[in-house]
Amino acid sequence: MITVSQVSKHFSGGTVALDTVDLTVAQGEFVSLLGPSGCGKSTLLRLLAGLDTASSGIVTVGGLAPIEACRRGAIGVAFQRPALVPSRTALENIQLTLEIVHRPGSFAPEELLRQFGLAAFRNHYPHQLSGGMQLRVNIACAFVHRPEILLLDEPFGALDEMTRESLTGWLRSVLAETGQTVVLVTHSVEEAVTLSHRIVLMRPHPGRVQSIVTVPAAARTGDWTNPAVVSEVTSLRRQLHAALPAETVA
Amino acid sequence: MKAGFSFLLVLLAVPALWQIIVWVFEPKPAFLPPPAMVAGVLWSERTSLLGHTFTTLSEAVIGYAIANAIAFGLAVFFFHVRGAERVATPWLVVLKNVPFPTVASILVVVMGDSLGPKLIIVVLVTFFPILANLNKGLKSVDPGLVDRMRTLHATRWQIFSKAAWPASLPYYIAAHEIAFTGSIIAAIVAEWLFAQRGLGFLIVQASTQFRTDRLFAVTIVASGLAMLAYALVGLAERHVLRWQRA
Repeated sequence: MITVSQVSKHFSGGTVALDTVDLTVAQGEFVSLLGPSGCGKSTLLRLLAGLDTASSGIVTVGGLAPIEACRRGAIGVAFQRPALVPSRTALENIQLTLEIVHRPGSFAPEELLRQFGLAAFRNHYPHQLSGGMQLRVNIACAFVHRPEILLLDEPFGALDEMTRESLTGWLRSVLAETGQTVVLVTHSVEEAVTLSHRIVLMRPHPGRVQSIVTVPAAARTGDWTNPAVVSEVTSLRRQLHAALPAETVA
Repeated sequence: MKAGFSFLLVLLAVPALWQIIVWVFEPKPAFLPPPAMVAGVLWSERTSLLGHTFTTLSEAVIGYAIANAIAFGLAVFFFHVRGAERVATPWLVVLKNVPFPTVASILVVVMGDSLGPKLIIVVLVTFFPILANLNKGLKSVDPGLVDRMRTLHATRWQIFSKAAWPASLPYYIAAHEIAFTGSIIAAIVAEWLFAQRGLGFLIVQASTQFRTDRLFAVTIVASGLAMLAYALVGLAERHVLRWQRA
């Protein structure tokens, strides 16, 4: 479980990236942070990952300070740009995580590559992989030690629409099996609606939580035969699009 | 293969062109000795040349190894200790810009004609390209990768050895292309300024005796050494950075 209580983050120069943010994410829940640039989504994710500290307020991850959660290998992070070692193959990049974190129950890297549809590319270097493949390896690196919490910062943001849709579907099916707690930072309403249990709408200057929306389960399971579900999800999409500035919406 | 062919072409073309110039312009051997005459010196004085070459090569390799160790140590120190580079930079800039013939003269006065001054000259010439490139290479590590490793609670050493060091290797190897060949030239220059042995000493001796044929012979040996150093670095690059060609 993730708890963010009255958290603010001020940067030098007076920028207020986050202002008294409250958020709770239950175990196994998928929550998306959706909002325009500068609303503090990535800052909040960095606080959860223990990469920054809050100026005030409390952040706990699984009841622990984020740095302590990191020490226990409870957190996996994937950023928008694949963070891979160019001189390591896909397999070796995934193994890198296990060279640092030793956790019982970790996935076998070869098995994970197979599950991620990359078995044939295990010995390929990052520059030999397509953008979509690199992102899958990137997520596999965050995934392999089986962290309880997965933090994803626009992991598909740099991709074209088709690849993005395909990878969103793939991620949904992978997470359905593992049941991890996920916090996703995204600009995409579609991504947020089709993956999340809840969507946290944020607004900028200073970054605050504007509202929290619960997504109908059918949006994730894809039961589009039910007219009531279709209508509900369509209405949700409209609501989210209306709440966001036009340039934000993907 | 293509590079090897081009290299062979140069090796054949240079003496051929040289011989043509000798035939056409018929310069005095004191100005431009014919290739056969230089080849004769290379053969007849091979034992002496080998001995002097060994001296120069020893100074170059030892100086280069010391420079490498200091540069590597400093770059790693800068990587691990925040602010250390800022404190050290003005000192390094001053050291880099001191004209090394002046330093050499001071060293000869202080230390006499021994191995020390020559090694110091080689170190001064080769140290900066290694430090500058390695430092830049270590800084070129993807910050996203470092962040990811920090979320795994990686130690500084793990971040260095598994992310920063591999990222720095292309820069490090490039530095050696300059520094290793430069170490040969630096050793020769140091001997040219003060020495009783080595290729630099031979150059001074041949100049004062107007032995152009011997000067050419020494130049060929020195160039051969520098090319050998370049080739060795090239081999290391092919091995260390083989992933780039995959």
